[in-house]
Amino acid sequence: MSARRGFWRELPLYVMLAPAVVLVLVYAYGPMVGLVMAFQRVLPGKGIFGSPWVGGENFAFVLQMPTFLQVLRNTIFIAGLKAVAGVVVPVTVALMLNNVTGRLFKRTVQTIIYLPHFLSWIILAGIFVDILSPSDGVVNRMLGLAGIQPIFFLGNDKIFPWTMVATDVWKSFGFGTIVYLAALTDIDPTLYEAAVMDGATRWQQTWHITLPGISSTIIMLSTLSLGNILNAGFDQIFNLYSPLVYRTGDIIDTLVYRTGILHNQYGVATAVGLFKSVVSLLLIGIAYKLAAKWADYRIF
Amino acid sequence: MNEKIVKLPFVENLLNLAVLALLALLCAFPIVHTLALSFSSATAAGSGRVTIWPVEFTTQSYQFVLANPAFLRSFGVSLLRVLVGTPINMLMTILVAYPLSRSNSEFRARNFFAWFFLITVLFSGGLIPWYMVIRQTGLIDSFWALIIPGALPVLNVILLANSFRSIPKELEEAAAMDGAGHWTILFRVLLPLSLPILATLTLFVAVGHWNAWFDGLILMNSPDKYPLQSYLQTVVVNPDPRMITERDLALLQIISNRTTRAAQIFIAMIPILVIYPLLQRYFITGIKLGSVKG
Amino acid sequence: MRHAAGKTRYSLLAWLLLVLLLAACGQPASKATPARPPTGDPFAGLNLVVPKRYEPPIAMNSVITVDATVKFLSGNDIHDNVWTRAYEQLLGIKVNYKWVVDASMYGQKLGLSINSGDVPDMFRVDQAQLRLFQEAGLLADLTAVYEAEASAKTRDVLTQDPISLKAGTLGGKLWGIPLTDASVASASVLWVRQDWLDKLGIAAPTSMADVLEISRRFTEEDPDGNKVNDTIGLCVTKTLWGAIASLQGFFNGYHAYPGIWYERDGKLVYGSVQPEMRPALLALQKMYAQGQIDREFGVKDINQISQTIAQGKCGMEFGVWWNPYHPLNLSQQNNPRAFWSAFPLPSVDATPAKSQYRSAVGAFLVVRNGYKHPEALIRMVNFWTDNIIGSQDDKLRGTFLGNIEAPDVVLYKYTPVVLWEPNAAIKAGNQLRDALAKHDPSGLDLEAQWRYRIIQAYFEQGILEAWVEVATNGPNGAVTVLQQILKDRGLLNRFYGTPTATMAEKMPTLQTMEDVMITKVITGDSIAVFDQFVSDWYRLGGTEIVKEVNLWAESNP
Repeated sequence: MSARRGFWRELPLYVMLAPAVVLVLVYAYGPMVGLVMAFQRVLPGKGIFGSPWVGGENFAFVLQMPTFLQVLRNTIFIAGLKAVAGVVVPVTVALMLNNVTGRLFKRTVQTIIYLPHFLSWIILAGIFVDILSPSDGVVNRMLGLAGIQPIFFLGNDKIFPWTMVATDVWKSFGFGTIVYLAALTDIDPTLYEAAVMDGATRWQQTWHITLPGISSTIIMLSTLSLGNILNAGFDQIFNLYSPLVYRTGDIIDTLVYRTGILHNQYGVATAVGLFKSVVSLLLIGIAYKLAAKWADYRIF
Repeated sequence: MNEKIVKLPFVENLLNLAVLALLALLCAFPIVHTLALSFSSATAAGSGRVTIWPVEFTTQSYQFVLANPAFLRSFGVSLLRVLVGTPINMLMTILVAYPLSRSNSEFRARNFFAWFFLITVLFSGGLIPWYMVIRQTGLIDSFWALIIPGALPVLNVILLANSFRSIPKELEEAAAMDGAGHWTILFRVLLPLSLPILATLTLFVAVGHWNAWFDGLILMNSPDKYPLQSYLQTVVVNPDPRMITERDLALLQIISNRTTRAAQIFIAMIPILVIYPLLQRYFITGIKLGSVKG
Repeated sequence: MRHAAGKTRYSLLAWLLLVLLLAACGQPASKATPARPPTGDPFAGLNLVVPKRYEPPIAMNSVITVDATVKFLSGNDIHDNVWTRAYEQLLGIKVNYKWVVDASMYGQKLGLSINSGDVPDMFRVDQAQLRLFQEAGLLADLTAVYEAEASAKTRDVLTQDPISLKAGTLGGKLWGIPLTDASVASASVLWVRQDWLDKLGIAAPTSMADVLEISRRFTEEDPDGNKVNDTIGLCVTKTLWGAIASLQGFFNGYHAYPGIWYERDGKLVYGSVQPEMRPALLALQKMYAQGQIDREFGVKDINQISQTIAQGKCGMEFGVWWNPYHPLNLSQQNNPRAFWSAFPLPSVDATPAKSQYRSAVGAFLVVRNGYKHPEALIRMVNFWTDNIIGSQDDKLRGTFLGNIEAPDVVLYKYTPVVLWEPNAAIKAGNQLRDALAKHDPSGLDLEAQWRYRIIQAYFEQGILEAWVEVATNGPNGAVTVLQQILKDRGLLNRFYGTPTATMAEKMPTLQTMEDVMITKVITGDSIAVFDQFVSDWYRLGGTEIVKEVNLWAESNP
């Protein structure tokens, strides 16, 4: 192999990185200085350097809110379910699409399933309230044909989290499907040829060739989604929830929003953000170690 | 063209197609519904009589929307944003993904930089410091505020770096043997083989720019400079019912006018509906495999 | 590679073209055709009361909100319009809006601006911000300049509602000029589908028992005559409170006053935890169980309720006086004969019901601490109150407020200095009513005359759409009901100060608990949930808050 090592060999890499590093230093690390606000009582106009230090008070404030534990549980539950569904559904659909031979059908379906992504939750909220209505919504009418009693999807607090997961998956599975479809094209077709010659069934092929072939993408995307574990979807939940379902539907971000924290208590808002970041970091770190150990896979 | 060697048996194929078709229908419904609303009369829409066909067909809402200078102006801003921001983002992404895709022996500081970028995804100082930095760098109220601060989407970098790594090493080694340096390897070997992922990322970046609304609302000092989705937010957001007064009547009437909202939303979706099929063919090509055998 | 290069070149070209295109027609349409009146004083001929002019003119940085309804006459925009010209020419104040933002983002943008060191010279704040910024030393003390320069009219307007100035006062000093408006406007009135009452032969409701009966009959007797069981008695939104389809008026009928503070046995108590809430909750529970309240009200916001009303599905709602303008007018979309009438709140017993309302002062104009001319704000306020408030001069109103003929160009939205006389709507209503009784519109200003004509059109020509005006400003309309409320049928929130320490911290959580409790009880949970709520409320901060409020009351009689 080339004996040219050292700095000069690596120089082009540094050159490539330079603009991005500057950008990130300024616009990502610069603001991070503001994390200290999590430990301050931020006074308007006094900024970071003039506001008094209050240690863990901001954290305590949030933690001792009567519903905080419940809210934390809800957040993890909903986000967790979304993370799982956010892998299972797109992978499945990608596999299904991959088996389709008709190009037109494939492209059309691909296009259509990506469309819900573009509707904002404000609009979708109105649509879903109509569709999911227990009295005259389309979904319940269909269920009625199958003899199932009407379900109050948005008003029953036991069902609400599942409704949130389902509607969110519906809105975003198109995105994941695209990524997995792209990954599927990377799989060497000769592997399939060989398998067919060995008499492998389709299921065996899927299990032994396809899934391992995209496993790196799956692991990577799911690990990254761990970074979002405490973001259970403010926009969606805010537009669809109501006092009927606060018990299971209230998440950290909606709680923070309702208490007006964002409005004037920046210290507390920063504390919440910091809390979420630390948890994400921990989870990603764990996933990274696990993937390295079990799958011998370095995510990045 | 990735030729599927195995064809499904008839029944399973049918089932496969049926399920996919159902999914497609489920996804298409709200779009079709919105489209129908946009061509319906306000009264029909307001009383919920519209499902998938327009009721009392009219193009009034489109005329209204297209005549509104604010809508057109913000549409232009968004278009410009996508056309300028997408190439910039993609370039940055490529330039960072390549070094990060090198092995640790090839690039000793690789892990350092990987974490350097990853941390920024997880940690944020919050709204105020972000605003302040943007202000200190003179970007408040500038079009470039929509482009520069977010010019490096780290998640895309990870996806691309991963994709680079999955390209067989032999290709790079062969090129290096011919005297190719990093730049050459990147632009002549890796990129051409990464078209599917590049197309995917381009789509995501373009869509991201098109859909972004918060930065426009917060960083601009005048609604004249709002990009499209920021503008749409202002006609769609519901005011707090406890704070509504008589002065908000006109606004309430606009907001509850579903046909105008529907028309606005639909027009806002059109560019994506146009770009997407164009980029689609890149998702299902697997050119690189041809070169391995060579 | 060729692909990539070709694509880049193509997109670069498209990009270039677009930039050129946008540059060419990037100018806002309004600047394209200046159709302003030729030079000459736009203010000539108007009998204006103008405060002292600054010589030389001074600069004032401010900020302002716009919303989707703000429109401009050609040649004008937010930085250059009749108001900015008036301030500059007549008062010598050059107003410069550092930023203009959509109303929904104002709080955030202001917070960001101030926290990044960018404090405007004059700006609007809400009550909580008033206290916050004052404590941080960001505001100028306005006591002296107010004393020195406020005109008689200004003093009158700001004291019509005794609370206004007090709300802007902290520690005995005035820090913000209250942006006054009619407090009583937030009082609930009962709206009922009059055509349904007529159809079923029901008399006007005068007691809560009537209301319950009407609710039952509206639900069971098919008032819309479509042979389908699809009508309900009472519309309620998931947010429970607010200007449309709220529960406030219903509770008031039981002498319960959720959400406000009032006197009981010499102390101030909070309405939501008082025993009167119980029977009201039970009544609502029963109505819900019998299908008189929408089974899905818990997930319906005001947009959905508007749809329900448009579809003609509900017959009653507790709302505010202007509801006919929106959303009640929507009923006519499906049924031209639909119309609603306003009624005073019925009571559950012999004691008349009081409609609760809160002080309308929610916003204040403040001046930055350190700005050289705090009195400039007072002069701007004077200019408004002296000239606009109570003015009968149509030319003046047309120049500064807006024209009835072009109702979508609302001129007063171009300035943050806008105060409304607390009793204006009532006064106007009185005048209108007298004029209608006498059949003589001559004493009315242009706008009132327009209303007069519309109301006449309803009665004399049977123009059905005009019911909206009749229901609000007509002889028995909502404004008349408000008048009665203001006189002796209203209960004003006794606490009008900035939130106390514990209040700021705990009230949002307590409010959430309350909303959840009410929703749950109505949809069927046992009334014991209410009792539990009351004890939780006290335990989780209520006791502290009650103490603080009563302490406040001692120095704020």
